[in-house]
Amino acid sequence: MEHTVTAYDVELEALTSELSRLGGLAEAQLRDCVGAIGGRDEALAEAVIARDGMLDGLDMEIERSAIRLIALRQPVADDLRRTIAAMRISTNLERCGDLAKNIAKRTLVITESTSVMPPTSSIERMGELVTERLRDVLDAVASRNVQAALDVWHGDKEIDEQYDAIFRELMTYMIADGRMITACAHLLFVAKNLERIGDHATNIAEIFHYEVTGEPMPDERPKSDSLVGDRSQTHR
Amino acid sequence: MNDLNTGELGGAVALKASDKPVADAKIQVKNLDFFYGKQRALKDVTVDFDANVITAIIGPSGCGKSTLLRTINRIYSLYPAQFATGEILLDGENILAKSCDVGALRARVGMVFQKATPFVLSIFENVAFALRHYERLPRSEQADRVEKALRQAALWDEVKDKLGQSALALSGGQQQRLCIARTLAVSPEVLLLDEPTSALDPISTAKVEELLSQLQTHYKVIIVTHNLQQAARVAKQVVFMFEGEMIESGSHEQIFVRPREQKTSDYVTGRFG
Repeated sequence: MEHTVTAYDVELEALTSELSRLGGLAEAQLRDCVGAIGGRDEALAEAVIARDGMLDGLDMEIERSAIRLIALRQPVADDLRRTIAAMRISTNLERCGDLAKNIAKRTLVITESTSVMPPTSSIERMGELVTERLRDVLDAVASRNVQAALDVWHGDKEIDEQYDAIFRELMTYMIADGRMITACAHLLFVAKNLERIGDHATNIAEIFHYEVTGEPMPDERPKSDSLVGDRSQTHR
Repeated sequence: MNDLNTGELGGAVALKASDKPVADAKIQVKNLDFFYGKQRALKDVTVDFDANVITAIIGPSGCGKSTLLRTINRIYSLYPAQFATGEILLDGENILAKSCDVGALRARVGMVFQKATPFVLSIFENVAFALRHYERLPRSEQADRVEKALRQAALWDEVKDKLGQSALALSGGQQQRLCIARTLAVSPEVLLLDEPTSALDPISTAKVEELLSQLQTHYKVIIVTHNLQQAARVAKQVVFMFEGEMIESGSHEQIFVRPREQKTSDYVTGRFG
């Protein structure tokens, strides 16, 4: 049912529309920075860096629109949750953009250096998985599908496991050939950034769940981080 | 949804859209119907009013919120064609019973209306009149009780030097606080307020709201309001009525952040009403 005051609906729809645009931009940034690694594509990496300002601007615009809505409409119930969710999802998408820019910068550094390049297929696969997760959660938000968002939330463990595997793989390359250390060090950060983008996709799923149901996620977020190790074992 | 108010499964179903019943409910309304002649204005209303918090009754025009309020001190009894069936328990005692002393009830349950109703008397006499109606007091004690009531209503400092002046010379907000003082003078347990700030400017409204916040620790306060922001500001418990039925009762957080019923959500978000 629509609001009695139609301008209220117009403002809420505008907020959702801006958020969709930001989601599309973040997805494009992620796809392109991963593509730049695989293709050693400097032009694509530079395009990602140049485009980051657009995401920052859109995030600020969303915050301004949400604050205005809160001040002038005093939203309650699902309108309130929708407005707050839009602000929080926007922040997460802007961070995804920053991380994608960072990946693109490191890609430029590696491509321009004389360091020997290790295989990057594992990182590219992780990048594709993270891209798919981000796309899935944004689709879930657009189609108001809470179950699809829950599926993304449960899938964070797989991203963490891939990160662990890449960490160990890069360590072996560094040990085997010292000429790869520089490139591998940068790729460690790239893998970490991808893992962080995966976390942001999970955050978005949690925020969306709260927006629709008014309740936080019922369970602990599934985590798999074997790099730190099981401290109960080391202290035996 | 229809099962909520047919009473077919009894009180347990009627409470479906409410929070869990509070152990120390000050007032319990059970299966209340109210009639203006043949017109049924309240339909099988069952709701608990929690003690020591402000409860706001909200809903669109004609939903029965003022009617519900008026049953709690039986002011409707003044009109022969109006009657109620069911129970209203005040501290466990049914005030709808024929044996209930209505005069004594109205000392326990005071009422303040949308339009301030000061008597055409001095400020002092407005408050003393209520006292004299219920108690025989020496003049000195009367004066003390008048001062106490005016202090409780946050009006004393503004009127202490002009107690002999006509109450009609006060501003709208002051008159309303005088009416509250008059109600408080007889030491009630419950305060019923029917849109008490609708006719007031924002500053007077804020003063009355601040007063109600202070009073809730000692009195059960029930306020009918069509101002949703006011209900959100002052009330800890909110009851939503629609077409004579109690749709949902809960904490202000529940009603304004995650209402359970679609009708409640539609109303508080401005989708109808």
